[in-house]
Amino acid sequence: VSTLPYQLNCAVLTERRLHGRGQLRVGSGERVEPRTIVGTGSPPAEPLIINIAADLQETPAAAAQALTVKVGERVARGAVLARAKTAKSVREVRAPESGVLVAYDQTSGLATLLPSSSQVELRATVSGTVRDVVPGQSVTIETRGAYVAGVWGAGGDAYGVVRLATRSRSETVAFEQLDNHFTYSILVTGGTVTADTLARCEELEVRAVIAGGVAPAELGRYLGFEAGVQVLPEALLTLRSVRKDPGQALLIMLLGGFDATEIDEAAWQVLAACEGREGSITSSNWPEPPRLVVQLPTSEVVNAVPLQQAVLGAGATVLILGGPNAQTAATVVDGAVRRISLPSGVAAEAMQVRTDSGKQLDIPVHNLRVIQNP
Amino acid sequence: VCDYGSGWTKATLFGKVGGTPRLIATRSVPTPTIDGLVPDLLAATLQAERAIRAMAGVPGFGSAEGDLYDLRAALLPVGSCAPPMSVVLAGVDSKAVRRVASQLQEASYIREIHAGSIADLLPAGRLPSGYRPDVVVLLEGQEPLPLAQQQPLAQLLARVGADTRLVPVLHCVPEGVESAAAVMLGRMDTDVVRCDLLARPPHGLGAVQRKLHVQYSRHSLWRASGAAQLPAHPTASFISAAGCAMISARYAAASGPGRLLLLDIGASSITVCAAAGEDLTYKVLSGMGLGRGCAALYARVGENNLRRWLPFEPRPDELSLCALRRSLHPAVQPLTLREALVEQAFAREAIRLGITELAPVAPPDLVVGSGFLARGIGSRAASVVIADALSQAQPSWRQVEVTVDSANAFVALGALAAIDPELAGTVWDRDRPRTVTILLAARGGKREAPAVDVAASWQGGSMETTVLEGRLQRIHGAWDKDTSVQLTPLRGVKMAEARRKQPQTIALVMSDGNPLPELLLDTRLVSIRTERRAESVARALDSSGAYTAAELQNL
Repeated sequence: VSTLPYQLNCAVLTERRLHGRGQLRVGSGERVEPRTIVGTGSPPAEPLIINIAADLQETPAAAAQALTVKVGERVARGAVLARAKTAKSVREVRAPESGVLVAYDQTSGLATLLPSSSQVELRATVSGTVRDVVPGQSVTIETRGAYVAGVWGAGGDAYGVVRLATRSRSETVAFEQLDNHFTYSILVTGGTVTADTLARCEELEVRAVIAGGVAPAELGRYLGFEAGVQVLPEALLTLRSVRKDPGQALLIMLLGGFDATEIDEAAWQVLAACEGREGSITSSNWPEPPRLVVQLPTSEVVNAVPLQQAVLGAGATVLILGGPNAQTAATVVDGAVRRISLPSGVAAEAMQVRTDSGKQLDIPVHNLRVIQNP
Repeated sequence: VCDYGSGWTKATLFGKVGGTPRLIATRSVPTPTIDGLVPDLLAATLQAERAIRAMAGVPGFGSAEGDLYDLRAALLPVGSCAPPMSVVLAGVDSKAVRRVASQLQEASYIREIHAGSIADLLPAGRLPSGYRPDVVVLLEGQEPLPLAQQQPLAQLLARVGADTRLVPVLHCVPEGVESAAAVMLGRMDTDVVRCDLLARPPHGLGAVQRKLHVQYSRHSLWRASGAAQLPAHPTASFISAAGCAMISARYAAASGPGRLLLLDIGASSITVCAAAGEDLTYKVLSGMGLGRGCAALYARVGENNLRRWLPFEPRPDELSLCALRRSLHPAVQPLTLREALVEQAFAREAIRLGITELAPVAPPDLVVGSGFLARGIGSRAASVVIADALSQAQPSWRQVEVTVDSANAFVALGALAAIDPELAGTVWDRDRPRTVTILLAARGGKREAPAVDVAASWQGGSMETTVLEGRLQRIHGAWDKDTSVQLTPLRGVKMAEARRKQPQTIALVMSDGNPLPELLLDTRLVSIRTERRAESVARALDSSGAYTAAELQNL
């Protein structure tokens, strides 16, 4: 029931949803670019409780008389909410944030201020055509072109021109080879990526890096973790931002995993077809897989079909997950499911697959990731 | 019942067989993550239901369209990623209570609040019939709860189920105030918050909000990506998986062994629950487990605690990469023995951590393994894992019975009990997990290399334990070298049988394909089981090389 991870000539739907109340600015059929603002929303703010009576050193009833703002009125940040005069001084309570005074409790002297929520712009993040609009809630954008799903990503959303930095899917780029040709791009490198490469990418203002894998220690080194620190795996998984310099944003997307050493053939072919085209990556919602969506010219996309579901059957190309043949591509032989006992002692439902080197293996079905349908 | 885990979706089918309600079939499938706009959990539901139908030969629900339609009506959804909480907020002064409620209502983790004074909430019809909130918040002010309010409070707590310890109580008392209700609440699952609601946040309401959020975290065990999709599919509201397991644990303890310990090692949560009669103690470690939560588990227990369970020296990064791999691909199964041993080391630490975090409990009569222990490994290996972890966490425990809940019956029947307790009880009596293993937790001192002293205990005496321990630790130290090791032949063990032609000596070549770990795995289980009944187990193994259900029953 999962989607094929690498697809060309497909129609990808991207839903952009408002958080809180807001307005959408685009209509059905309208063309959008990654930068296009499709709506503005106001995420709900946490109400603030202010102890007016205590601050004025008055009883709650006396503090109520000292209020300078009525319940329901809007106040600016720093505006006086209540003022009490004594013989010697004047005490004031000011609004810590702009907002609406929604309540004052006569028995406790507590006032509730609902801060004004700031407007947040919702961008399309992908190129395409608006297909569906749910007023006040969401828009769905259709992009015709290519789709690549990774297994891990961090760094939010990014868009840029896809540029291949290596000639093969197993070649690791040397950081010295990178120049300003890659500035603002989505850089694709075969093999793995190192801390030095990431630092160089940041320097060149590369927007995103797509690679087969990255060793946790290397990524940890780039991020400034001490060697061998045991929180590293957890920290990597929950990483929101991949940046050393707070002024720079860099996104990483892995197609294989932390122990992968290359990009598989099917993914490489799709990425090669996207060279020089503008694409968008979303990687902000782990454990959702990160994904790259690239709009291709109409001439290259004929009869685009919706994203296909993966079919695990005879003739399907699969990637083996785990074990001595991890990350090896193979073909499902007959698609029959057999109950076997693994060398690990675990009983599993398995399928027979044949690797490129001709080796026949029984692999549990849950250890197979379909990358091409039969 | 469909139990949506972050790693696996477990479906259990109940129905009538010959007029008797039974648990008909169960099946689990990996929970897919969202890809594009595919409603992942719905897909998992359909997949699980089809698998069940195929397995049990149950008549179908009709067309594919019909599947979806009928499932929505018939499905009882259970999940760790629970919906926002339903809260009862009670106090003496209804106005003050409502004021606090209006503040709490904004929190995203709260679905609804039934707020009012104790007297307001008590009359029949004020709360929905059979209503069970997720948490009860009791607010006390500077004036202690009047004595006259104590009896109504006890009635209210009993009405919403707080007296059974299944519904936690958050008791908010200002600093320095001696609560008159403390004694009564002490018998319940109560968390006391010292807070002054007249103070500014975070000292006032903020403290309550934080506690409520912690309470919710126990239910919302994982920020599953599917959570956003949930309102769109099953129409019923979700039942907490941990809560269901606890209902069953309590029932099982009351109707069976007396004291029961449930160990549920999920993909992203670890639930440990001790039930004794009507008493229930539990601990849920959220975001930690053997799937999506594996990296968090690794961070919590540390490399050294995991290493001690391994009969080989792991490669640098091997354990951390395993944690990452399991987090990215929770459904992947270990292919090699080495991978299985690493995975089981994580399981041992998960159990040890859970039991250590649980309040002190008396030795149980029955230990139930669930989650990974029931579906990730075979029951023999699960027994070893449990025994090892118990020997570390509770070295004084001697003899326990162990079973594994491979049908996910604890959660499924708990969910059924939530809507029809009598029906669930009938099914439970027929289809509860059977106790298949009897074992003794290993004896002896500190166990740095667990395989060692269990192998030694086969010899049946403390002297031999010491001797063998020494030998095997040397093996451990020399793991990477080609070497031969002299061991006393282990009668009754299949592999030793094969080597009987070489009396007194078993030659083992140290390599990746080394049979030693497998030997130790088998040996350990045999020896634990046979500390008192060595001969019968040896006979069972000699005849077939493997246990049958009948043999186990006879042991």
